[in-house]
Amino acid sequence: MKRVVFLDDLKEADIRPQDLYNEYKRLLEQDIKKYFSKTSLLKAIDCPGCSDDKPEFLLNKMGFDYRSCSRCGSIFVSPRPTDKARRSFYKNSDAGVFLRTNFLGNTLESRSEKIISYRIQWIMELIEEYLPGAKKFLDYATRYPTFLEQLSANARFESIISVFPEFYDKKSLLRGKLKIIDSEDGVGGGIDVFAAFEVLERVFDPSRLIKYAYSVCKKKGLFVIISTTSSGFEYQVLGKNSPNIIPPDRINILSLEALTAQIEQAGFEIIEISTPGRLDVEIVKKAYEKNPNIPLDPFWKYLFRHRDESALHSLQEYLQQFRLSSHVRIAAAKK
Amino acid sequence: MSKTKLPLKVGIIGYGKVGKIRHQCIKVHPLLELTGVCDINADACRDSCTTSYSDYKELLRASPDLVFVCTYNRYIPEISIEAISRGIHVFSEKPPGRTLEDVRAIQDSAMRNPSVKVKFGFNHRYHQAIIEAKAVVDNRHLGKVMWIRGIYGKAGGPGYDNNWRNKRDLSGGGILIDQGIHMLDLFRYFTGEYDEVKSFLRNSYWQVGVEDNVFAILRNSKTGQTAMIHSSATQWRHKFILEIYLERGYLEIDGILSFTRTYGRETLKIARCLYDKNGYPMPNPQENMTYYDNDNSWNDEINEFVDCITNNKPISNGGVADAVKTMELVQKIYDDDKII
Repeated sequence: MKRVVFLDDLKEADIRPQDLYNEYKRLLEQDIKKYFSKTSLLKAIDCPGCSDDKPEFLLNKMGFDYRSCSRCGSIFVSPRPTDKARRSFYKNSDAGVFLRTNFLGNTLESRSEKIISYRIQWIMELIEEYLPGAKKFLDYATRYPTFLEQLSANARFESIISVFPEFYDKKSLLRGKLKIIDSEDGVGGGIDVFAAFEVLERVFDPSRLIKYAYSVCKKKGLFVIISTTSSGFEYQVLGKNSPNIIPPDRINILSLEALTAQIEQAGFEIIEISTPGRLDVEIVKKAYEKNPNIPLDPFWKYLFRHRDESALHSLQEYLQQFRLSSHVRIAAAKK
Repeated sequence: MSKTKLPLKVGIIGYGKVGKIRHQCIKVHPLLELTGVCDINADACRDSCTTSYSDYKELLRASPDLVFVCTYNRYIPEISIEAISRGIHVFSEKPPGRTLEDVRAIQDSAMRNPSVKVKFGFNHRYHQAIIEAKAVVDNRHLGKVMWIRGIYGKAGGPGYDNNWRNKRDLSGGGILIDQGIHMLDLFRYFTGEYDEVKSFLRNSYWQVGVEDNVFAILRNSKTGQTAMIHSSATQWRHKFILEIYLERGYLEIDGILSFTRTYGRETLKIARCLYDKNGYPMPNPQENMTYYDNDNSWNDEINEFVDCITNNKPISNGGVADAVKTMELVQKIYDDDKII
């Protein structure tokens, strides 16, 4: 198994400008009241990381109850919206529209340069090493039409299937070898590469999605995920004060251990676990600067007050080296 | 060709430290069954849980399908040639003897017995960082390799001055033929052959009669590709660094996973050149680093060897031709300078 360390000059403002992010959160809070006030749309669950049925209440955020699992360390929402209700929310709410048009739309260039292109490069490198004959790609619930466009432009894949994409307004732009479906049934099987980027954190049942990926991948097929993890620095240090615990975007913040266990239990062999996050230290520092009274170990306060950027940069590098960032990517092959 | 009967019966000749490591690899391989071990020191074989011999010819007479030759370098040619002549496949530790003549004699024997597979333990080719670096070099996205620089060094070790590896009669040389040979093999793996050599040999600290430091520059006179090696037994902090510079970027492998884990974390750094508006490369490009957690090299090289035997494939890594070419480099480096 391997891990990749990836450092560049990415700043949170490049992908999450504060004004846009604040407005998105405001709309979320407003729309959540509107869309999820009926409790019949929500279902209570045990820990999605390990099925433990004794989670502890952590906080209420925008009307949703977050819980933490003392067994596996995951953070999650329960009760929570079904996938159908969540998809409807993102499709129709003001927050969903704002997310697509303003938030993601206005940061598209930097996301394309500093996130999407790296993802495509990662996929290509994995294929080159582990599955040179890969032809059939499946993406699950991407929010980035650009990702699919760039992938389509690459001659590598003969077929690209996008399942439940969340960029409703741009379907007409997509054609050729790209097929868009809003059903898992139409996929069939024989998938060479199954990508679930920033998806596990918002689906109703991440374990079911992982098993589904296994069922449609062919033998030796690659399952690649990018997600957020409670094992990382941001959540470990800030806990419930993390500004990125946001429903219903992040209703599953699984621990690294829970995530890898589920992937292995589904029948995959993990070939890479990396936490190539670049923003943990910056996020924690900003949270402290915004609210100096935030409960934070004195060591971190001292660090942020008395050490310069190079120390923070080295700390972020350390977090990556030892899989301690909150942003995780995993590649696994179907046995 | 008749179908190979499985599992393959295996003998180990030379049951010291490395022979025992090979035993562990054999244990976990589903197609291999250890049927005998041999060592001149009978005590060494006591815990082998299989038939033991003190004369390698007796082991060969038991007709194993393949043998691992894990002896002092001095005995590798004789044993390998004897096994090959009996139609027994040979996996030998590196170096393939003490001299170029040694390995050429093994090559002659292998050519007379083309159905026999012969492989040498250049296991560094099977390290994950090397495998991934090789893929990057071969896909040419970063252009052609211009030059390579390698450092492989250790701090001698306990009893280094009395170790058989430094007795010329047993080993054929010092740190270069023992450890530096891996680096030379990797140079060839990444860029091909080198015909010009300049070297400086030193016996600077250990005073063991063989070199404890080698500095050498190699060049391919046709392609201009250049390589530089420093092989050292006075590198007080164990070190493995291989830098590969291409036309549009570079790779650096720092650290190599070993049993002792003393050569650092195995890391592959990859960087692609960035250019200014006039097309000139800018300094300090972004580097991506990959860390590796596991060393499967010992098992993987055996897997490949077994695959070659059972499916009658040619040896693609560490075969006789590789061994001869790498030993030619060792010989040229030794021939170019006297030890001071």
